[in-house]
Amino acid sequence: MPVGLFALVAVGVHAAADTLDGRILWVIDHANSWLNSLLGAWGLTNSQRTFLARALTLAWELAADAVVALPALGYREEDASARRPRRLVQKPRTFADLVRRAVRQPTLSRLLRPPATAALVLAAACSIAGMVQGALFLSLRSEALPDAFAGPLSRGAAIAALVAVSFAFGWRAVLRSLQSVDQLAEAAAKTRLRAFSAGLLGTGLVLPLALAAALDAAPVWAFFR
Amino acid sequence: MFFRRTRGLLDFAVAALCLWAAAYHTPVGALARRLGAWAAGTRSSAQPLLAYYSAGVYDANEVQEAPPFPPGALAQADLTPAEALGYGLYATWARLDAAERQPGRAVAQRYGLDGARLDDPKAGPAEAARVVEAAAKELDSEDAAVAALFCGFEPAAYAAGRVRAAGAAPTLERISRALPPGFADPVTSASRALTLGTAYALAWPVPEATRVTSPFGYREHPMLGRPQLHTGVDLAVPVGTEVRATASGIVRRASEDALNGRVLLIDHGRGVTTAYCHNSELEVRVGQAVARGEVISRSGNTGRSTGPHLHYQLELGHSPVDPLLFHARAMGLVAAADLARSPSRPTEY
Repeated sequence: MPVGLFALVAVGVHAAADTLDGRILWVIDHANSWLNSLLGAWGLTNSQRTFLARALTLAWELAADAVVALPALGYREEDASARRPRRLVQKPRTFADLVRRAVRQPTLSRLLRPPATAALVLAAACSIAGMVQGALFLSLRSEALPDAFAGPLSRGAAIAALVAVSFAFGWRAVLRSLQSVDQLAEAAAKTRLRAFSAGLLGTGLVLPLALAAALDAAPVWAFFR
Repeated sequence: MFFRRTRGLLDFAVAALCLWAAAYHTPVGALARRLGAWAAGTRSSAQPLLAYYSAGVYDANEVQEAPPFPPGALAQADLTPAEALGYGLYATWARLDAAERQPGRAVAQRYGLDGARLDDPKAGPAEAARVVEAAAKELDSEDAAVAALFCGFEPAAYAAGRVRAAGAAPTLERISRALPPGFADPVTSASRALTLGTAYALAWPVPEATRVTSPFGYREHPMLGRPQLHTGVDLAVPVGTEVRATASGIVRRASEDALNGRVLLIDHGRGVTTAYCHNSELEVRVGQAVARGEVISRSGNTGRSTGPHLHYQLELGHSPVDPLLFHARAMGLVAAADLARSPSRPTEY
């Protein structure tokens, strides 16, 4: 389960990073032009700029994986009905507990990282559903099943995969994200400012990817057309 | 108990799906696959890590052994885009083994064309162009038609349909992303064919009789005095000569620096870019769309230059290649000795 969750978030992060590559190249192009006009030297060749854009995207993706995907490996299933050990301070364990605490003691990471994880998970679910649809459609077609059956069957499977991934795993990834930022905020809870800004760098890394995931990498409607 | 088991099974299936997608869709998965292949002593099919951001298309590794301009086309003054694409398709087709040619033959048969003619060095380019033209009419996209020739009609039609369903135009890059795992090699072939086809259709930036004063390749740099790769060709033209775009495209750079002087970079799509250096005046600006043959600048002697000339550079998949290898009439001006060595000579970088 934790490895599956890690894989899910990693797929979402890559789907988002893949859409950012072109934008990073645009930024490098303009930075290079600006440096040219300032320093009067053509700093980078076309191939170097493309390499740099992709290398930066890869570095960004791996860093984002470390921030949002790696914590998923710490996910553990617990039976909600099991008796909890008595402790002086009861740690919040359920989704509702964690959300309540995020509302009562908001920090940037508590507020932003779970929705960002949700956006990444949705992009991942779309990627996975697309792969399921393609693999199923082409294998059914090769078995000489007419389009009239292969099309709806593969589309149904894709929608089932989209729903199953989003609901069976998606909420767990968001829950784990909430748990991880909660631990982060608790560890930095000495002053209000430190608690509020705990995990800011990681959240800043993930947020543009989450936006890209929501805007460019999650074509949910395409499975219904 | 029953529901708990069913849920467990569903969780297992979803976890397996996630791992499958991560293994084939992410650089992290590629690293894991390489590690697994290394441990098992087998060959990994994972792409290089940075290729995961280009959908495996229009990369330098596809054209590193780009063939020179097809000798059969040398007699022709200019190729139409369809003819140039035919040569690009054939140049790629000729590298495929028998199994890899099966999807293309099936597509040819679909349109009542003779798939065996695709193998013929003389008839192959025109036949390939005919197959792609017929497929493009049905699929309403040239990129999808070229993908069909190498991936098979059904996968290409499916992927083009998915791209359209998401509200986008079916470019090869998007088609590649919409295909399930297992099509990396055919997509690379399609990409190579489109890149070469676009490069073969390029015109020349100045009058074609213009003397080449310094060819592409390693040379003793005239100002630095040490061996360095000359990444384009130097064309001897007086200051103020009109420089024309060698194909339609978008101006990606219009700037000035100490090395290249006033420089233009034009993106022609499908992994093909051209650069024009040492100009005295630039007539276009960044982001502007230019047409083939449009005057884009006036040649000059700006930047690191020993005399008036135009440095013309061609890049395929972001790496410089010899522009003379992709231009028939200019190639006709090159000495016969150069022609003799070029068919088997790999492109230098």
